[in-house]
Amino acid sequence: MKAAIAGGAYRIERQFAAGMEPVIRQIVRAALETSRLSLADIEMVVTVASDTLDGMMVPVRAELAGALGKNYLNVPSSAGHALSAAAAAIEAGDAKSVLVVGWGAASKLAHADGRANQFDPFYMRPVGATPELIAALQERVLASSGVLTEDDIASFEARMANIAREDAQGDALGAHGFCDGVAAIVLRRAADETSGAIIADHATASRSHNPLDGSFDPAGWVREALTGFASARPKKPLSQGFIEVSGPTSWAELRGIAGAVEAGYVDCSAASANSTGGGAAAWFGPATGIRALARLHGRMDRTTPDRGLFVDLAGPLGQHVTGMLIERSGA
Amino acid sequence: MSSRNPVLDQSWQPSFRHSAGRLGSHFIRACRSGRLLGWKTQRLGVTVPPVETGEPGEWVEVGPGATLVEYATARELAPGGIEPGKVFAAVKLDGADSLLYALVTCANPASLRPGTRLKARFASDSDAGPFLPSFELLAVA
Repeated sequence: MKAAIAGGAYRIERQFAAGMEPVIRQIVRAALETSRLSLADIEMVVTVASDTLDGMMVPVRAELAGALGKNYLNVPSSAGHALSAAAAAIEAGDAKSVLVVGWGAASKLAHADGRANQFDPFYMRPVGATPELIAALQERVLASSGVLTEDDIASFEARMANIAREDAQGDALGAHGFCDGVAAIVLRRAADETSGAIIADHATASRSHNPLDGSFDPAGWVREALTGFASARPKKPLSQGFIEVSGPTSWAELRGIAGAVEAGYVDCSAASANSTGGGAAAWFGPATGIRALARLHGRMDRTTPDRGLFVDLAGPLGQHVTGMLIERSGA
Repeated sequence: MSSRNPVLDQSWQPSFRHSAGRLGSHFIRACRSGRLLGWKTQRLGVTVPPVETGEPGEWVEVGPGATLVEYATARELAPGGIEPGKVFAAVKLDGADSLLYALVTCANPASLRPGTRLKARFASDSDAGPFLPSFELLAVA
């Protein structure tokens, strides 16, 4: 039995002045409302938050999210992996309805970026590697090899930032899109959900680098993840399909889009991809991908296309990849 | 502190001990004695630092010559990580098939180009730096 997205909600802001907890309550209620369910209808709760930013608050915030007395799973640091685990729980018959809740306070990163903790302690951290530095390096690698131009990245960044600004409440988003956010998605059995979007397939992959040459390029990781789909690759790429990639940086999202196109699932240019704004322009931590999927679900109620690919790139370089084939119910 | 929403500011400074593993330990010991080794396997060729593939392999000498692939300088969000006069770079050691990330000493980064020739320089015993070599521009004869 496939899982369907019944509803979702999110909120992003430069910084939650009153803290994360009241926002978690608000967003869980809103997600349940859009899915026409109450907390009593939910059989399982999955939470996701950063293991460097908010991991210590997981037990407290899981109760705020409604986990008390229900089957509960916490998946650290990857919205995609959490969504994939929730979909798998429904497919396996472990639950008929799952609430996935994620949060993050990336506004803290304006002062110090603790994500460097995730880099190799022997070969990367000692020489000063930071997510920012590697992003700058990778942008130059792609530009000097002719894969992307600096103008490509700048125009994509500007378009994503415009979309993200539509979503941001209060003052403008912080430097490099770092902000606070909470997002929630409700999944149900597809048989119980007639108006939702179905997760037709999903697969994950995690890499620290490209083992073939030591480089960092999410395109390869995305291609690798999509080979994990149970369903056969379409004979022809979806020419009208959407592609939405949520990642920590614009170059990672652009390379994620390239990887999905190269894998033969969608035939789409970067100029028409990411109607949700992706994740880099409003990044609140590794739960960011839930926001992109919630926004996508809201748009699928009223806009075409009916199917496409959702990709989440978690980790400071987007190394933890989740791919999902999404179809509108009845399409 | 707000009486309605109490907030605590706490510092958190965890410390971890990591194992470098079988290949990494050998590689690091070699670096400390001033030798650069690559791990050669059929699947991946020569990887530096070594990548464990589970298949048999052999150690081979690499470097000290290297080629600059690309570099980046610290931007505003990465303060303090790199000392002035150095850049963070991807380099390919002579004899290696994979990239190594290292610091390159260069007074004028704007002069650096992909393909620039470099030479490894190991820290002396008196240096407090990491065991990995840094690189400097190879003087053109």
